[in-house]
This record gives sequence, structure tokens and C-alpha cells, in this order.
Amino acid sequence: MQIKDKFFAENPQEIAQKVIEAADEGFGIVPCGKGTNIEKYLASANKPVVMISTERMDSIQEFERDNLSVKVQAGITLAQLQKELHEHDVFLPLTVESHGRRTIGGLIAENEAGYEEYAYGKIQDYVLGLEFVTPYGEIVKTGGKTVKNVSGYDFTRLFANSLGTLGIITSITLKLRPEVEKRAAVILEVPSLKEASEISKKIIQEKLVTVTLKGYKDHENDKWRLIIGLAGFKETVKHHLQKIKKVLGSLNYSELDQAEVNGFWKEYYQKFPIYEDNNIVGMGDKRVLFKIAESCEKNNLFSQVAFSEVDFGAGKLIIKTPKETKETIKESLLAYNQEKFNFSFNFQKPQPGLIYKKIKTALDPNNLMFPNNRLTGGEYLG
Amino acid sequence: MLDKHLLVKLKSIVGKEDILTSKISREVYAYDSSPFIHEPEAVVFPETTAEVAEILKLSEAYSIPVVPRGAGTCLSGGAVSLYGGISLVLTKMDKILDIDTVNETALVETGVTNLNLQKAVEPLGFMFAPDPASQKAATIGGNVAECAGGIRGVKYGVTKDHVLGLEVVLPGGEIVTTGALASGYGFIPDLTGIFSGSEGTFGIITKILVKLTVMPETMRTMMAVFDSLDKAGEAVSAIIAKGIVPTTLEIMDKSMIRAVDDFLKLGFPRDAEAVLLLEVDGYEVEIDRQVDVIEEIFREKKASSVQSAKDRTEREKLWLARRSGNGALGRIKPAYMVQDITVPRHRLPQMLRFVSDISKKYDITIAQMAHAGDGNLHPHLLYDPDDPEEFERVEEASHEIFETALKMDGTLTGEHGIGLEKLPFMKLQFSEKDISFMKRVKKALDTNLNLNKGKVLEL
Repeated sequence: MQIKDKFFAENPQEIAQKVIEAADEGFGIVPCGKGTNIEKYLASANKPVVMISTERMDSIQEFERDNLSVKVQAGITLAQLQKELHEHDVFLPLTVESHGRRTIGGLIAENEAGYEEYAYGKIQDYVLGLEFVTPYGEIVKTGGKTVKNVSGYDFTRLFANSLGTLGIITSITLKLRPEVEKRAAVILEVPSLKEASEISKKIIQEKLVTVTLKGYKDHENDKWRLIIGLAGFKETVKHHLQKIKKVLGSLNYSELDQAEVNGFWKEYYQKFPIYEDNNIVGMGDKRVLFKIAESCEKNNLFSQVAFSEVDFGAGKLIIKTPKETKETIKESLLAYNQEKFNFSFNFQKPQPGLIYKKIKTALDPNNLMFPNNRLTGGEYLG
Repeated sequence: MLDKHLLVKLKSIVGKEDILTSKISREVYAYDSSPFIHEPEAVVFPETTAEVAEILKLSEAYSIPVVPRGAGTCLSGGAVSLYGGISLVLTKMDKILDIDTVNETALVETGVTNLNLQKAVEPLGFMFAPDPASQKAATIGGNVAECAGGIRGVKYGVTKDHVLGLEVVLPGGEIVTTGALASGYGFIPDLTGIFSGSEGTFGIITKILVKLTVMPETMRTMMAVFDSLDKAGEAVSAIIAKGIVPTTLEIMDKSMIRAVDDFLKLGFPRDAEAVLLLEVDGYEVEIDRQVDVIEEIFREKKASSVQSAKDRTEREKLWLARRSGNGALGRIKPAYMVQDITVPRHRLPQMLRFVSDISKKYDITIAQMAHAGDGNLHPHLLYDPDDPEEFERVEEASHEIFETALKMDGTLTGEHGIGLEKLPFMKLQFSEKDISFMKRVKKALDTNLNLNKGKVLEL
């Protein structure tokens, strides 16, 4: 790896200039925010790179409460933004406890979602407008600040999970939601993952104001727990808690109020940070997830790992593996996944597809943008 | 007319019953729901993705333009064949392939109508949230290609918010998948979004995986009359500030109220400046409090009357005025041009007032209804087609409306599309660099520019 320069940009014009200069020199260009999730991809750089950080571009440019929109520079962290929004009773549905330190630009480049993904989706669902610098050093705008907008092509979602390979996001207009009146959660210990699956299926069928539906197990406590999060009007949350209790029958559970819910997740992500090299992540069709989880339990896979999370709501599996057994676990997971088309893991080599290849070639013919990450043919580090 | 060899090849792909070349058929398919009329040279009805792919390969080989088309409800000229060629009508690909209540999704072929999808998922307690006015006829493929909106947009967003994955045939005939239909979903770029509102210029959408929304348990409808546009606008802001996001929030301005009242004799006060029609939906236990809060806000903002519907019949009554708008205008002038500019929600009263002033300036009648909750205006500029001088004033007024909407940080079109209609105004909204970027992506996907050329961009 040869980092020629790490440049902390103050505005899009500086980024555009730096991109042109780097391209002239034939250097690769690696966009980053705080760089919280980037180092591992630089390890195998196949050409000298210039890192361009948007970390100093961290201001809120325009907040319009009545329009439920906010325009921010790409380098603002989620925690900074949410703190400001909280004071005005609105929020961006991406959770601080899980992703607070990340920048908004970085979260879009990886199309992240918080622990309430089941209800609120991913960050791409909240992007109304974008400004970005192209690999040719042009500053381009797309979208705007209205939910309804079909003027010209919509590239607001072009960058979803593009991992910095198509351009550098400089500013973003986000759609906000009015703060929900009440949050609550039910947490319970279940005898087995199978039990957690069965309860989750019933909860899904009940069509409640469920925002989280996750089972998890850690090595300190060898029991599965299920957390069911609710958010909505206070009457509805109260009523739906009753419905959940009916589903749970004779099982013991604890009820968490809003403050306890926040505290729970804070502690949860301190204990199990999501960005760790040994985390295996799988996602896709929930029906397939249920089957894979079942096979994992049957074959005692969960007892071999430090931590497991099955997000029944969002269709996601996270397993924190010891380094020594990682390879065996990967093989087992692939064997359990009979329906490969509908469920994928982070350790499988990504095939970004023909549309991406065509666009990438047109926008960045010399493959300068992030030339060595998992999409652009660098050594695959999954 | 198309080359004979090409016609033979097309027939061998779709069968002779799925291709029309007679003059009368070509004339029928020269229209969509816009004023633009352009005849195709052949009308072809593929029934499978493979057939679409074969047709596009032929189009590349023979350099024949192709215009994809669903039900032809496009209001901006997106579905007419500007350069002749093939009108590719996708309505025979109309199967609902899967409804999955665990993932809360449905997989449909492109030609399924919005209404048929709604009917199929409703018994399972779901809905497809986008509900354009054309939903009885409009297809899901067309909804995606135009990123259709509708009256529930305030709460539920627009089509792109409900599309999880696509199967698309690229102009070279390659069949590809995106989003949740692509292998590796979650770990590869999700390019589903760029097809939303791409107006059939990037590829032909053949299958769509849509997100289903839980059908609300209940709904309430209210109507409030205001003698001031600003008060109506303030009421909208106050409702949202209370954390209530209505499902529907429609507004009619003075000209529209008068037109409707003259037509239906509903007894609206003559000094009414704005009528707000509002619906909230949700769970039974929460809905009454929302209604109370909204009624309180209406009173605070000095609504001259507030009505709530207690049942379906009363709801229909409240909707009558809104639904009769277009018909009522027909009594005043034989034709109208309808715009769909969109401005940030809180600028709506200002924009409505501006349009009202413009009607005086150009001495034309403009009646306005708007989806107030999402800032989407539908000013109807009335004219007589036999009066070219009046039409010229309508065009000048239109231009000024576009410019002002953009100055208010708005957009040329919220849900109807650029098509042919707004092509000349693209330069008002976008810089040269923005447009050149759009062209680069278009050419990356459609190098020979066979697919719906002349829409969205001048190429």
C-alpha cells in the first residue's frame, strides 16, 4: 500500500481539483469520511492512492422542519446530525447506537441500516438529493428536496453500496420523519433459536408497529434471547404490547421503556461492534434465513462462535467467529444455504453485475476510484 | 414501414398474432395520455422476457428505435414513438408470480396493472402503496419507469420507495437483475433506483419485486374550508409538526372551488380561498386522537367549516368535489394544460398564490388542485385550441410557473415525467455538467440510443 497523500477537503471545489490532479498523476482516489471502515481495503492497494477525506465537511447546510428535510455535508457524523434533529422532534431512521461515529457520506456508500431496519429500511430510502464529484472532477447535482421529483434521471440511489467507486459524495439532502411518540421493547430468554423463529413468524403475521425483531446469543450467556422493538403512537404501542404478550403465552419476558431501549442498544453495540474483521454477515430472503438458522442450530454452529445475531425482521445473520474456525464456519454456512440465489454472505466474492460494469466503465474508464476495494478487482478480503 | 426481413424475424419471435402493422393499429398506438402524437411502424406484444431480449437484439442489429409502453397513461409523451420504430407493448406480461407474506413482497411481471396487484394483496391484509390516479389501467412497469406518485404519497412515498428489485432487459438484449432479485444482494451496488423515473430509456423492465405495505386498520376523512391560503398552509405545517403524517392531503384553490361549486352546487362559501381534503389512516386505537388533534388545528387556523366523514357514503361525498375537478373545468374551456411542478411543502401557499397572480397577468383561467402534503401542484391552464393567441399566453404562463417553482427549490415535475413535454425546460433545472452526466449514463447503458430516444434528454 502506498498512500501518496491524505487530503482533508473543505468544500466540493477542492475535491474536484484534487480528483483532477490525482487522475493526471495516474493515482488511485480513495474517498473516505472518518475512515472507520476503510483501512482493511487499503492493505492490498495495487497502485499509489490519494485519500480524500470529507471529515472536515461536517456542517448542516439547511434544515427545513416544515418540509421534513435536512441538507448536510457528507462528512457530518450520524451522531452529530441526530443530536441536532432530536432537538426539533424529527429523526433520520438510522440508529446512533449502531452507526453513530460514521459519516453520512460513508453510510450511503455502504447503504447501511440501523437496528430498526425492519420498519424503516436502509439509508438509500431517505436520500432526496445528492451533490457529488465525478471521477472526471465535475461537480454534479441530482434529485432535490421534494419527495415527488421525476425531473431528469434520478441518481440519488446510484451510490447505494457503491463503496466509493463511482464518485465522491459531497452533500446530501435527507428526508426526515417526525419523532415517534413512544418506543418500547419486549425482551425474553427463549429455550432455543427454533422457538425464537416461531415467535418471530407469529409477530410478523400480527402486523404490529414492530421496528426490531432480533434473536441473539453471546458466549457469556449460552441462551438465546429475542428482542421485539415497537414504535408508534402511545395507544398503539400499549395495545401491541398486549398482543405480543398473548403470542408469548407462558414465557417470561421483561418490558423496556424508551430510555431502557436506548440503553439496551448502547450496551449491545459496545459489546458487539458491527465493524469487525471476523464478523460474518449474511442477508436476503427471510424464508431462507429461517432455514439457515435452523441448520446452524441443528449442527451446533452457534455454540462454536462468540456471538450470533439473527435479525428476523430485516433478514440478516451476523456471526462473530474466532479466527481459527472462521473458514470451517464459512463452509458450513454455504452448505446450509441451499437457495444461494436469495441469500448471500459478505465472504462471497461480489459480482456487481453488468449494469454496474457498464456505468463504472463510462464514469471511470481508468478505474481510478477506489481501485482496490472489493468491487473494483482488488484482492478480495472478505 | 419496417423492413420486410425485420418483420419476418419479429413474427418469428412473438408469433404473427402479437404484431400489428396496419395503419389503424399504428394510429391507435400513436397516442398516450399527453397531447403528443407519433406513430410507430409496428406494434409488438411480447409475452416473455426472452422475447423482449430477442426483440432488443434485433433492434440493435437493425438500428430500429424501440419505445416500451404499458397502458399508455403517461401524461408527458413518454410512451409515443417519436422516431417510429417498434412500440413494445408489455401488457401481455401480466402475471403476478409470487406474493410472499413473510418478506412482505410481491413479484410481478411488468404489465400487471396497479389495481390488479392491489386486488391480489388486499385479502392478505396488504396494499401496494403507490396509487396513481391511473391505477385502474396503469401497469407496475410503467409506474416504475415514470416513478408514479399518487394521493398517498405524503405518508407512503412514491413508487421508488416500494421497489426492491428488477429484472431488466438492456438494449443489447442482455437480461439482468438488480436489488433483491440479484445474486449477492446487500453486498453489491443496488442499481434498482436508477430505473425509477428513467422513462424506459435505460432498459425494458420485465419483472418487479415490490414491497407490500400493511393495510391500515382504519381511515378517517375530513374536509376544511379556509378563507385564506396561508391559514390552510399553516394548518398543514401544524398537523405535521404534531407528528401526524396524513395519508392524503389535497388542496383546491379558489378557481377550482368555484368551478366545482358552479358544477355541483355544493354550497362552498364564495369567499373560500382553499379547501383541504385530508385523510389519516392507522390502527383503530390511535385514529380518533389524530382526528381530534387535526380538528383542533383546523379550528385554531380559523377554518370556516370542518366536516368529518362517519362512513363510506360520507367519505365519497367529501371526495366528490376533488374528483369532479377535471370534469368541472371542461364546462369552462374545451382544453387545458396540466402541470405538476413540486415545491417544498411549506412553500405551497406561496406557489399557489403566484400561479393565481400569473393567471391574471396573462388573462387566462388557471384552476389549481395540489397534493398539499408533498408540495405537488396541478395547475390546470385552460384554453381554447381554436384560439392560438390564447394558447401562446398559456405557454408563456407555463414557462413562468416552471421558473418560479425552481426558484423556490422545487422541481419541474413531481410525478408526470419529463417525456417530450418538459424537455425544453431541463436546462432551467440542471447545469450543463448535470445533463452531461445524465447523457454519460444513458450512453453507457444504451450506446446506440435505440431505446425511447428523444425522451428525458435531447440526444
